[in-house]
Amino acid sequence: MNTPWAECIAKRVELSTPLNSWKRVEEGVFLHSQGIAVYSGGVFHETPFCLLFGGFLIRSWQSYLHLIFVGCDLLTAALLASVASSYSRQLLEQQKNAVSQFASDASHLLLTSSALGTGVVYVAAAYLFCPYTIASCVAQTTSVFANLIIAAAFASMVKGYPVIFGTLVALVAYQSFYPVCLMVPGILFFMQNDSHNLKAALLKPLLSFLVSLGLLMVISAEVAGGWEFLEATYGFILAAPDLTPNIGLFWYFFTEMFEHFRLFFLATFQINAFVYVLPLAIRLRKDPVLLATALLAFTAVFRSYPALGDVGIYLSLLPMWKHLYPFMRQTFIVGCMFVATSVLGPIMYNLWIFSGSANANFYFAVTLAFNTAQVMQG
Amino acid sequence: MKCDIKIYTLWYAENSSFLRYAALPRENVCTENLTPWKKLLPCDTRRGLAMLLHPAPLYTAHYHALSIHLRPTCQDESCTSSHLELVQALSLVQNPTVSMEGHQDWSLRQLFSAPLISTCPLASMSKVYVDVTTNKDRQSFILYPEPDSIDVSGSGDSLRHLAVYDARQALNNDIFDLEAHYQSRHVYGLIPPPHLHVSRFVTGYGQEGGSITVKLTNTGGQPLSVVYLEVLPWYLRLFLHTSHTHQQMQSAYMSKLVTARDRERGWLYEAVVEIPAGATKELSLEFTRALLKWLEYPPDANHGFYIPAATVSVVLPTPRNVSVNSLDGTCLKDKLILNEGASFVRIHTETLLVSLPTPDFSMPYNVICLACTVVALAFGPIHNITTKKLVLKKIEDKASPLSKLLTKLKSLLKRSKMEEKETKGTDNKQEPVIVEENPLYDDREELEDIKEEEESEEDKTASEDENKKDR
Repeated sequence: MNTPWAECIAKRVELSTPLNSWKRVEEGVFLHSQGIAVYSGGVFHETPFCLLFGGFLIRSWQSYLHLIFVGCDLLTAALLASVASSYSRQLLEQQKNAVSQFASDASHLLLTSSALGTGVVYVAAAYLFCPYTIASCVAQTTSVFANLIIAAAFASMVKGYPVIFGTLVALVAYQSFYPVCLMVPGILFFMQNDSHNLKAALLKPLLSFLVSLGLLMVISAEVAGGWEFLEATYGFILAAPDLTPNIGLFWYFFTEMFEHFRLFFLATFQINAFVYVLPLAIRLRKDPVLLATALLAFTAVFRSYPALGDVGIYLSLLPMWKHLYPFMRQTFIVGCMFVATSVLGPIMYNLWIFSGSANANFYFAVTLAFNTAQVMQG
Repeated sequence: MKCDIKIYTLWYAENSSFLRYAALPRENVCTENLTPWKKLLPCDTRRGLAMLLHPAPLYTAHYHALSIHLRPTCQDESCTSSHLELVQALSLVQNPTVSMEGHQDWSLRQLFSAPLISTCPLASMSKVYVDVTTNKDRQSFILYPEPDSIDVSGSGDSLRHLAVYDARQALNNDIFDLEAHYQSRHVYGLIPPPHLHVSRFVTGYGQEGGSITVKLTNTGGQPLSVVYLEVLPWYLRLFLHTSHTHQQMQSAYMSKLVTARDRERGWLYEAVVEIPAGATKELSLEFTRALLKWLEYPPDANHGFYIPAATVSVVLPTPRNVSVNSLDGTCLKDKLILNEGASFVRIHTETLLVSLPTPDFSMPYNVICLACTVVALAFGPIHNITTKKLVLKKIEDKASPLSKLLTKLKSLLKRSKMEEKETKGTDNKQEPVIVEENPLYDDREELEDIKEEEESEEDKTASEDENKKDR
């Protein structure tokens, strides 16, 4: 993080989007300190809470900033590991209860207790050694904090703390909007675990979510001095006016879009991020953790400003279903696509922006392939 | 023309909400600009001094600037009603030295390719001024014809000698061609630099980001306080925190900043910079370039975007190198007289050419199709997973597929009721079999072994945990 590469990495469009780049946080804090209305302009799109938090970090912890990011990542990994251990224990128990129904030749698909420990290690290692998460930590993107909250929400879900879960989801939804769909698997999980008191299982997380979201909004309006921040943050996420290249589908699509179809496709694409919640919730109702991971993956692909940090967290959760890997289709192809696009992406971007010897289509093709890989893997 | 009119700007100056600022960064050089400008003159170009303005010599000059200035003024002393004052100005810079083999000789005929032949009858005054401040005692050049009078004004830096010709008298039913004859060849000497000069340029490479850098140089002996005003389009997204640290803010003060909104309004940046005597100050504004929608680009998108000039306003201590500093004057006669002491100057910097990243304009359909395909790639399998049910079937049962079954059913339906009952019986047999009833999966013992093993292991771990707790 202290190498000269850090600055280069922080500039990468794959990692730093207008929504999560630390540079914009610094700019927002600077403008705020100069007494300029941060949200009337088009540079800062983080939430007012993030403005306060970023301001605090920059003022008091500037020299330890990289340590804080690393610490957050380590904490995230620890939380994910605890998620993995609790979840695989639950899976094992379920499996034991149902073992009489399984076929003998399915035994290699079953979870073994020896896999418990390795699964935990794999999840933590996948998060800590995933190049995407490392890079996004070095780039000091705010995705690191979002990932931390998501991991904490997962942990509180698996360990069964509905109120904390609601609060954490409210926090992460407030921060980056799309994880709001994590409420559905959470409620499903609590309802299954607490089947004799369904009403409480439904209301506890829901109420805590609504109350904390309301509180956050009121505090934000107080900090930002008005409700203008809603348009600058959520309006910015939903309307996707900034077409800076990133790894998502939005930027080039809406650059090339015909003006009179723009609104229609914008609505279609945004609905697309949420439309899978209901069918998947019905289909995967028996396994809310898998549902949550799937939703995380889909929002990472279909959000308006995706970054590699968002990809990193759901990839690192996948080793929890390590025993089901034989069922995965096109593993080799998808793996190759991930590697190839991760390498080709920066090359194509450099050719387009700096060398001028390629055009936008090259980079667009790479992002398309990357998204296809993510979709196929899902 | 009345030259003693009071300026009526107080009302405008007091209320800054009436102030509007706009800048056109580039306009192609073309006679089409000259024609409407000329039409504002009382006699057009049919008569008067404006007859000199032929497009060819104008547009082959080294520098030319057309301007119109409008401002509200009082109609009379009592200032009961206002009117708009229009000042039209044309500046030309030509270089006669080259064409005259080292001599600086010039004449109206040579500069404008025609002499003056008439004056405008609507004009109340029609005069030609020649600055002869450097021509003391007529040593370096001789004017022909002799000027009507020589006005002397000011002293020191503001000293100015002006040779005045009244065009009406000079014409006198004849053509009027003013000529200057130099005694010797021109020798280029040191030109005293202006008090303040500004240069602005774009730094950085690639089409991702960059920085607008301004260099303000104070050549005088006194520190200057300069107001720098920059209006930028929104597609350059400024990041000020990198160039406005505490250290840098010690000599500069950001007095105004209006942040841009995408496609709504641009940036307004105003800073007050203190420049010590004989020093150069650098101001830089870091920016990133936006990718625009494909229809927002001008026809030649790869040429780049012109960024309007910034303005630098300063009060100079002396009127050295200042051509006009009496802003209240209306007529040229008043303006050419330099005021003593502090003089206000506004300098416009260079315009900039910034190239933005461009999309491929030729394939919107392809992009839309491909992006939608990726979305469909996600939608298809999920639709598949969520709407289809996995059902186990008897493996050893080599019965025909469902379609064959249906045809069988149909054929059976045509038979008697007795036979229908039989078909129902067969239908029940074909129902999917649950795993438990599958005869293939009868080797349960193995499974139970696994189960026991796992349970024992769990017991072990549980006991270990307990042991740890005990410790």
